[in-house]
Amino acid sequence: MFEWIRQGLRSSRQNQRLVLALYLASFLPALLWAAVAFPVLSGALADRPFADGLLGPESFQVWVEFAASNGQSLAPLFGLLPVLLGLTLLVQVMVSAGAMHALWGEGGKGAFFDGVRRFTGRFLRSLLALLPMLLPVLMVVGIGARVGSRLAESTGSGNLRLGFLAGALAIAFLLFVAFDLAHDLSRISAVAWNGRQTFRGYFRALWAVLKRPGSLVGTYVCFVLLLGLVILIYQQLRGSFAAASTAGILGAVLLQQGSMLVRAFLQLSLLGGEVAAFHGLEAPDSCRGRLPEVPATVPVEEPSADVSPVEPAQPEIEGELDEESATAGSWTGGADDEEGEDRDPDSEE
Amino acid sequence: MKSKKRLVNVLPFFLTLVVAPADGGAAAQVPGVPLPEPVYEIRMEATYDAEEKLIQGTEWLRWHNTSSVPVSDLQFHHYLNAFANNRSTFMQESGGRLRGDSFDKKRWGWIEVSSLRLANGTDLKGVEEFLAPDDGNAEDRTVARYPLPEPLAPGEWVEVQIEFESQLPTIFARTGAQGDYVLAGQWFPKIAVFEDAGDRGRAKPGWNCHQFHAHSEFFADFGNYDVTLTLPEKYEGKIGATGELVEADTDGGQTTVRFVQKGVHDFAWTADTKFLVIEDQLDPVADVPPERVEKIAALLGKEPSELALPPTRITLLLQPDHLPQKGPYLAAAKAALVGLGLRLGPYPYKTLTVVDPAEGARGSGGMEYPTFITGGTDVLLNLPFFRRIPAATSVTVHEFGHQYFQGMIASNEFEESWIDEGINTFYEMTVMEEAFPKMTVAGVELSGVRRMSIVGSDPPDPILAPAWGYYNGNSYGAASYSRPAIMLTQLERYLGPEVFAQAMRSFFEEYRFHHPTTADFERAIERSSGQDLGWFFRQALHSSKTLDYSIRRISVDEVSEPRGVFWQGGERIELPLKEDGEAEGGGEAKGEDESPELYRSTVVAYREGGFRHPVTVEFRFEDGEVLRRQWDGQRRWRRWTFTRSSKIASAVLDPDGVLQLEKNRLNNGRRTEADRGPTTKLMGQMFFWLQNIFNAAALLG
Repeated sequence: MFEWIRQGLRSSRQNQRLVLALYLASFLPALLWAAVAFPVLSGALADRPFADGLLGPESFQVWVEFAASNGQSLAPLFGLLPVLLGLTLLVQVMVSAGAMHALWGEGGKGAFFDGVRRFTGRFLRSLLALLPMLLPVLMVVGIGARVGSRLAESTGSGNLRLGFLAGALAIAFLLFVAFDLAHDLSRISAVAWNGRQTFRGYFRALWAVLKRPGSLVGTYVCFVLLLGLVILIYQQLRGSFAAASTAGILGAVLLQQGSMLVRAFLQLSLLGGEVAAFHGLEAPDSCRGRLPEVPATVPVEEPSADVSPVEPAQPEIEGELDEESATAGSWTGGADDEEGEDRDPDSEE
Repeated sequence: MKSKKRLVNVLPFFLTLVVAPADGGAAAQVPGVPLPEPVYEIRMEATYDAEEKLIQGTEWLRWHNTSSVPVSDLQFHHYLNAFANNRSTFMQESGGRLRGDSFDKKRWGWIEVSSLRLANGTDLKGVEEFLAPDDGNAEDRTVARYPLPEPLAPGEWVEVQIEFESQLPTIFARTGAQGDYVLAGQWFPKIAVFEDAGDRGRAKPGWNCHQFHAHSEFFADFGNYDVTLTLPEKYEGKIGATGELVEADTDGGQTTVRFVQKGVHDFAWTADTKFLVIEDQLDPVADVPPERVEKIAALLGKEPSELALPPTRITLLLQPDHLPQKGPYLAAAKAALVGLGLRLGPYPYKTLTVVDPAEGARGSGGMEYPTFITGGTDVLLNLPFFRRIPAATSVTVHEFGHQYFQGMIASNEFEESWIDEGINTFYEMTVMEEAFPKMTVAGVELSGVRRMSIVGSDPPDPILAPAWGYYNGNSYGAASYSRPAIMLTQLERYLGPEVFAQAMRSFFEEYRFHHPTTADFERAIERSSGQDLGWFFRQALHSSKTLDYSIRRISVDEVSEPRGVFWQGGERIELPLKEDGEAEGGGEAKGEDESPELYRSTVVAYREGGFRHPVTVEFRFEDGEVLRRQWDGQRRWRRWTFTRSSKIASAVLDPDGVLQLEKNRLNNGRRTEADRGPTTKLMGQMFFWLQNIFNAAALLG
């Protein structure tokens, strides 16, 4: 597990452009909104001395008073947000496709965009497999809270309610981690084996996660904790910037964007760690029986200086077919879906 | 366990009607602090059936006709019948939902009088009649009338013995039982208030007895209470009530307690087998910060020694799960005792009971009864991370504040809810900001939070309206709590803190225990402040007018050189002078001897709403000069023009923030040069939040 984490962190260090791509995936939609919103807000606030309160400690009150009396001008701005959220999700899927492709293979010039081109469609289908899985996650929280609340009422114990809620949240978190890990691993598998059976691949990946929960979930949770640490540090530092001055505003913005960059770094590290885990747990077995497919999915470009591999475990060519591996195939159904480079990569099953 | 003689109902009952005996009565009252003359005396014995959640009781009532006219009937509130069925006025108005709580229809609540006998044995049950004075709802049985065989002459007392049964609902709307927890409020037949002609502006004498409405609390006269409660033994030592506990015995599987209290207008009690009973006391030396005494004494123009507070015994009935919040509960109660006591006068009762409602019984939280309040918190607030959330502390401070307004001022909450809720909310904000300055909501103090709840919209109702006459629940809430509290903040800033503090204390001292009306409040404030404030109260309390002033225009024009024909010293001249034959040179540079450039700065202020209020306007010029002008705010608009060598930089209405009721403060000022700093900061924050939201999409994508 720690080796996967180490490899994940190293992959981020070695693929800074991918970190940047992840960072931009949320930065650019926010920038787009800001570009639309700034003239509107500035038009309403720039000549109003009352707006100076936005620089003070009671800025929240000033904002609420502003929003309460300017609902009509703000409504379109907030109406834009769901659209941008959908767009961000799409961009994020594209970035994931490119990043996973680059991380899986030897990297190389064009690996990222090649990945975007070849895997975005499949990743979107994979996302459709994940979304229904969020329902049980939400249900666990809802049921846990409700049962806890009922029990608490009958026993008169608030701690019981809190305990149930905390337990439900913990279970929901672990379920989410398992589902999201399966989502990522199935996508890595799709990249590795050029698989197309996204739904079947998703559930195979989920089964693989459930078979080895400790190390996989542990890796994921470690990165979540690191992300939490970054957020905590940001919260501790943000008070240091008195935003009433230009320097303060600039300092706060730099701190915010610095924290977002670190978070992008960790998100890519998580992906790198998952790729390493994929290599460590699944790839060797699968490769034994599927040797001819390896070249079909591993990019053949020369490695470049700026995009380095995460030291994938090299396929071991040991001769005999491992029967179990052959039938289990990859998590995206590589055994069932033999497809080579010659087929149109975007064609439907 | 010592043996106990069961209290026996001895007839003739009036001979037993010894209310608040010397020991109990004296113990429940602070020496030197006067309590009101009782309009009635009540002795009750009640037994609680914990399985059925049923109370069986006997009430001995002596009622005094303090009016100038004979009284031909008695009227009672049977409040619990509000929960008897879905046709009651309360249920129809509330739809079975109140303050985020839903009524549990598995157990309806009701009260039934089985007999109501006069001292001569005449039972008035046969002539019982239910009234619906507010809405004519024949299904509503919350007001009962019992005609007397003979009218009761002015100054006489009538004595009645009432046998009643009260079924408590599952906790809802301030009362009920849930599991082992019981909060008995509005649980017994409650004599209404008989008002003489002239009382509270009344034209004719009569009973003031409103039905129980969804958006209303209560109104009652002051009396003396002596109540004996019998509960199952499991509640031993876990019972709290209005007043002071003077007897407690357990025998035969039952525990019996007796509480007495003089000079209060209601009696509530609670019990829970889980209660942790924590006793504490307000120590007038250790718990009252001297600097606060000095500050408030200065406001009131008194010597600090005049503000001495008596000790108060505090009983906290705490849920075990909330043990970590023992300190915050007690701190809030003490802060309120100190804050209100110093400003308005000492709390006159010896005891204060603070109840922490059971889990899932929030419908009984956040309520006040004389000497007895219910708080409300959550186990989440046990965690240090959540400790700075002001909710639980402010609820305790608020509910204690009611001891002064609902408890002692005792206005009619059916008809003028703002006098209790609004003034109390103002003092809740004051005490919270003074004693717990770090408890804010996103950095905003509670007064700011209250203001945020009223900005941006035109109120549909005036503050002063019957509780059932508001447009909806939100309007009742805003008109009863936030708007009057903010109105008082505005009045404080308009009058100045000293004048205001003295006026409020004067109002309290004059009307304590006298059920004042809005008109009484207005007169008291005017008298004390020495100002005619009718114009203010008419708009702020009796109308729904919106207060909003704006700077509509600010402009600067260069003053052109004088051109044309002028008269100077009786001589006509034409400017610019042409004797040298020079051409007009408006664009030429001026030499050092020439007069400096002049600018005409124009500012137009506008009254956007119907509420008229004097307002200060502050003008800032580029050379740093600041001018202030007063505008009476009467006409729709006002224009100021300044011709000076410096351009105007900004104009701001109400720079000191007096007009707290303003709908929109953003339009209060304008500047000539745009400053994008605040917008940039706002955008920076919003940008970051959006990045976070969009970044969350990375979890899925």
